[in-house]
Amino acid sequence: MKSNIVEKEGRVRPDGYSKVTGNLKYLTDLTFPNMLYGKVLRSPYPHAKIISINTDKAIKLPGVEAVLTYNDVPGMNRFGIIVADQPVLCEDKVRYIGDAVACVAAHSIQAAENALKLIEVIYEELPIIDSPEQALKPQAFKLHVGGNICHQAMFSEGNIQQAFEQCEAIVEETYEVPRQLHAYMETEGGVVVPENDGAITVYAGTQHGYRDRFQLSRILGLPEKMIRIVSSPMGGSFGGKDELNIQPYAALLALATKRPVKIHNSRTESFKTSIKRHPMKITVKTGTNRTGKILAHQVKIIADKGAYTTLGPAVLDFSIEHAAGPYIIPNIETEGVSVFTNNGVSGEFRGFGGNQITFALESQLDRLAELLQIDPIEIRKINLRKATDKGPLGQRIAPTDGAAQVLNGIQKLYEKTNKQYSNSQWKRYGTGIAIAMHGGGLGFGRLDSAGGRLSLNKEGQIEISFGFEECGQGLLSVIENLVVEEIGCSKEDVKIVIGDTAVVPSSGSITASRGTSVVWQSLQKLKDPFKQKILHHAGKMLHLPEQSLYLGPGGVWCFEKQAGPCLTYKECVEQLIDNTVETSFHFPVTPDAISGGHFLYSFGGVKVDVEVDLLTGKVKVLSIDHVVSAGPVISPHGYRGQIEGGGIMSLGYTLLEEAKMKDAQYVAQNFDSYLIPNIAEVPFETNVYAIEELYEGDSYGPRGVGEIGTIAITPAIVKAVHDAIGCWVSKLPISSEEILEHIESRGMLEWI
Amino acid sequence: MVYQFDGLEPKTPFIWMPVTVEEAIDLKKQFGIEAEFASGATLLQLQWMNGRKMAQHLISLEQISSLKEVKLKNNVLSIGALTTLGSYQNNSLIKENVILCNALKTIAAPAVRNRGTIGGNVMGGIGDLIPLLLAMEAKLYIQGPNSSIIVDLWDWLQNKQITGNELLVKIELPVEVNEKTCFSFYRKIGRRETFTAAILTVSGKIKWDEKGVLNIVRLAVGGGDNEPKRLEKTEQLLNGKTGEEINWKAVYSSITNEFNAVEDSFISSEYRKKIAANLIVAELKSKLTISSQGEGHIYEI
Repeated sequence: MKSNIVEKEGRVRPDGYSKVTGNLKYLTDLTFPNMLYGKVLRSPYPHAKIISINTDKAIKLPGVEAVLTYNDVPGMNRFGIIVADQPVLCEDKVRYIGDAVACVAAHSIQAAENALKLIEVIYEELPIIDSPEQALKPQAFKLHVGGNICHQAMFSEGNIQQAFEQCEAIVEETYEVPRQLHAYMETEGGVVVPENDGAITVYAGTQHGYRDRFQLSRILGLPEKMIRIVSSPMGGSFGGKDELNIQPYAALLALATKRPVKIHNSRTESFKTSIKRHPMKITVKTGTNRTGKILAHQVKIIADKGAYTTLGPAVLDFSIEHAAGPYIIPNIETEGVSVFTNNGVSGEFRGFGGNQITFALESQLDRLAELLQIDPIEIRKINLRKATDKGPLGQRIAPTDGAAQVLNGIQKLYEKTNKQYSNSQWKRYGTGIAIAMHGGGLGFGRLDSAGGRLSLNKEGQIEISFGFEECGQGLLSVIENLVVEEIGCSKEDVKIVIGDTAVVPSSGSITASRGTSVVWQSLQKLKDPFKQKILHHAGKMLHLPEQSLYLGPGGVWCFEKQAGPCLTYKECVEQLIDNTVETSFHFPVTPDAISGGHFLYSFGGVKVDVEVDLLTGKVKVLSIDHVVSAGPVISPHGYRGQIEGGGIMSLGYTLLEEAKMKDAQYVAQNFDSYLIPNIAEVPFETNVYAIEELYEGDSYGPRGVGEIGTIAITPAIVKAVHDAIGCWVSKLPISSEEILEHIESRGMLEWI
Repeated sequence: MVYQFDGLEPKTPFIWMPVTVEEAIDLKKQFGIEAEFASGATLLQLQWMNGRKMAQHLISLEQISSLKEVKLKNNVLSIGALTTLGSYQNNSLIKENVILCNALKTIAAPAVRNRGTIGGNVMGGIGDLIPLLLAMEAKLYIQGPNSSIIVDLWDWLQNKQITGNELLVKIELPVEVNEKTCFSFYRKIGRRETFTAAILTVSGKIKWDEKGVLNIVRLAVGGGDNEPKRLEKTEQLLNGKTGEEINWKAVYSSITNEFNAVEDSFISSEYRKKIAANLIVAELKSKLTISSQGEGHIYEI
């Protein structure tokens, strides 16, 4: 457990004690007087026509206060972040097994569940489409009016056909990656409380309160100002709660009954209804010259969208953008298609399409290195971008030497520790490395507004507000540390206000590794005007020139008097009228009009050691080293937490996790058979090394690290397995059966 | 079609807490199929979550102290059925039985082991301990409504006609005195390292004479949804042979033929058979090969 970054002054995250002791009240822990419990009736069929819905018996059940169907949705009966194509309550058709058909509010959970059983729905089952390939057949029936293609995207440069003809080595492979569950500890839930004036307050976790407000306003036919969203804290999200989940049902039921309504998904309900990471099949053909320089790279992506759009198009665009990663490839052709099926719903997930495409890209490099007998580090160096090169879509980006820095860091670790494990009778050991480049923010052409507010409140606290949510990522520490550093006050002076649309400014979504970035950039814009405002006022109160004063711990200090503040913040605010500074800006974006193109990138390199058991084909990761280049570290514990945790999440993706579907039904619906890593899978030897320096003249500050730790793990593990037993894996999660077959076929067990 | 209404949620069950085995048996007689015994209720909990109907009467065995006794007498370790899976941490007699401790540690997770019981692991029918107990020649002491029996676990598994009225009181495990001429092993393989159902569990015990000839071979498989089973044909293949005489390829294929492994959406039957055979062969081979190599202490390593 090594790292080159250490926490300053033994600082503890603001929400640390309450989380560790279990005292923290999440929004799903809230109860209100007269509160009802809501439940949602979900389709048992992945594809069916709804012939009729009869709620008569359900509404008569004692304890039941409301039973609602699509007829009871006053506004637009659809939601979806990019395209609103998902019914809140289905009218005539269900398209996946989680589709909502009716919802109930009752005095108890049990009464609500019983009422669901009394709702009579007559379905006519329809044939299912359970793979993108099936959906793309010309004769396939259409799941949506516009057909089965949700989104297509492409990028090309140069001439790949000509370039392939000049290649000395060509590798072609199809990579298959699974549907992954976010597996947040707190399932989706919350309470919607009707207010006196017909307004509502929604207490439910989300990654973007203001967007929930907008989507709910359309569904409920209520003006946005009559909807207040309280959305923090959350017990994990990882992209999974960015889209609406239970909010529309609790809101409809609260408005119908005029009573608070709580809905909290059980784990099985969550499993069936939540979005998942997009499964993809990625076919890649890559060719190099004799020295390993990539001349041509052709990529075809097919993504399983599931039933509805949500953020699918943006995820595919991200995969397309990152197809070349941190490498300069003169001839490239990338095309992708995201296809509707009856397989659940795929959507946003930490890494956002980067994990899938980077696995394919880095694996291609490793295969080429083997073919050409070149060192894995060397082939990457030959192709690596330089600091001032353009971005992967040919767009201008903030210059960065991160790619070379992480590769050098990984090379040092690789050379230093290689071959520390020696093979035993039934075990083989291997090492793998990989690197990744990851865009932060939403990209060109997308509304990516950011902002924050700083004020000296009436209690004499320095109040900092963002429209963000704490979802376990450590946002509060980042805010606290930055305010203390930038303003000069102590942490006791700081009050952080987040996650409540009634009181916070719009900061955009807490997604796309943008949180830390937005907080830092906001503070750069806020700090000087704020300081001037306070010092000007303090100067007048103290009859001292502003220049002789500064903001410090506990209040306004005088340069000439170092014993303590001359004016506490509380005293200072008493006659202060104009106490607030606010900023709103667009997240930094490339000047080139290339849709989805990013401007700020972070880089991650990984080295792993694995053990392969020859008797069982099982793979165990023994160590993970991360090298990350994402600018200055704001909160060392939080940084390590994000990188280590992200690494383990991807270890699960690589070795264990698959939300398998059979006939468009989830095979596993709980954690007894959907297995995520537990502590025994986590290598004690997990080290995080941060490269904090930015490129000369970079004025964009720290980049977020919510995702970068998840990206390069998969190809590094896969390469390490190859190093151990010579087997190339192209399908995730790595199958012990496949590994064992390879072991047998190579005669590694003498009795077979 | 109509999405069928399958009845409203049942009411909370009655929970009975008898203090003697007899009382528990009487309650079971009284309520019949409406009642179910519960020891740690950890497996039941999982099954309830997966849709198993909860019985109207749950007879908790928790208060029956006689079911918690662990004794060692005449080289037989007697383990009360209510001894927890976590007892390897605090019971001195269990602690001494290394292979049993190793097996217990592979079951579920610490919190489950604090409540789950050894008896429940056996009577649940899919427990990881069953293969170990088969290999160790365990006997069960079972109390029925009218009588009690002591029965060899393997005989009981083959002939059992469980009415649900029987109560497992204790498990008797012979303890090996001369450890130099015997070897036993236990391996559980899951999809994850810990806290997971077994893909399979294998266990075995062998003994040999002064010439290195195997005279006792007991091999067992089970775990997860695999039916627990002694591999009797493979045992016969090994019995009476020395390490050098064994045809390991034949042993491998005998195990894969004999083990009727289950298949599910995650793991194929074929894979389970192969790893069962690999693990057993590797365990035996490592021991028998080493045993035959030394000079002077030939069969005592």
